[in-house]
Amino acid sequence: MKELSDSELLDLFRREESRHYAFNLLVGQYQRRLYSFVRRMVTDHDEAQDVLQNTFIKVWLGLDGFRADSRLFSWMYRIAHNECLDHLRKLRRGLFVDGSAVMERLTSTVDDSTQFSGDEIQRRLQRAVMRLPDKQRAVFTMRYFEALKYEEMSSITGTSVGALKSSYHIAVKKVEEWVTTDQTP
Amino acid sequence: MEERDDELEHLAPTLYRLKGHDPFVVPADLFARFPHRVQSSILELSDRSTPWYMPRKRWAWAIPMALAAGLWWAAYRPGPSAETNGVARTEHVHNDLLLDGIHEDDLWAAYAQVDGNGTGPVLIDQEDEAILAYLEDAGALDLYMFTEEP
Repeated sequence: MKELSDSELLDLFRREESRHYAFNLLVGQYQRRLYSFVRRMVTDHDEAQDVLQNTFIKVWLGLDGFRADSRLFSWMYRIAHNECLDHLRKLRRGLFVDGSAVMERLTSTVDDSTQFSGDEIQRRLQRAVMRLPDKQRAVFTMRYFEALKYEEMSSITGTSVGALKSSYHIAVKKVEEWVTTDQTP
Repeated sequence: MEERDDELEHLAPTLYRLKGHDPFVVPADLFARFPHRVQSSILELSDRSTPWYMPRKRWAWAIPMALAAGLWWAAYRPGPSAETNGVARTEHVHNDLLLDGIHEDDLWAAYAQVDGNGTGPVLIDQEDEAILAYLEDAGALDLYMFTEEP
């Protein structure tokens, strides 16, 4: 199906009679890319679905106020990014334990064959990525897995391009080392 | 994309080799179902956020507004003439207020006319209507008492 431009989607959304139709198109158009990012951040499918649903509810509630000074995708990605960080924070608070328990919870997904289909080296890579702090993991995921440009990442995270480059550079070196020396949880 | 590949190739050869594979399992019909799931939650949300007594459509606000305006008009519209008002008020005057327009001296004079000493002790705790009935029965009630300024 042909993708609509931001302005076409927004025009449809702002008309009362096509509001729900436009939103349905918007979800269909962006759900895969947003899901992919969210899933890599929270790892569990059910949790990823909930986080993504909350993301789209916030998009629905905020779309009237969207002023198109950034791309629609970047704006939605930013909401998804914040929802992921918020979810992980709540996970830590909810478990009332230290970071290692959360790590265990996140990495358990890669041992579940219904959730993860990769081989041993892929499993090691995912475990290594999960060792990164949440914000750095988000940067790594956006760049390495989702192939976003630094400018786009800057608009999503509100961080300068220089800081993102440094963060990614450090993350890549750490993950490479953990994978090659098998220092993964 | 090119930028990323160059960067990785030198910095992290293992990561470079592993790139491009997504090992997370995604249910086959997820992306067919998900837009409906989102729409349902949005409809549920708007149902929850609008109490049953609040109109759902913007134009529906006109109905309660019109009712409120009608009630306001009924309550505060310009009143009838002063004469009509006077009649209406007279009908609702409480019995205790019947003597309000009578000068006290006139009342004591009427008592004196009845019982001879002007004390009227039997009437002290009576309601206005009883006092008037008493004075009228005794023939001591003069109409001028109601027409003169106290």
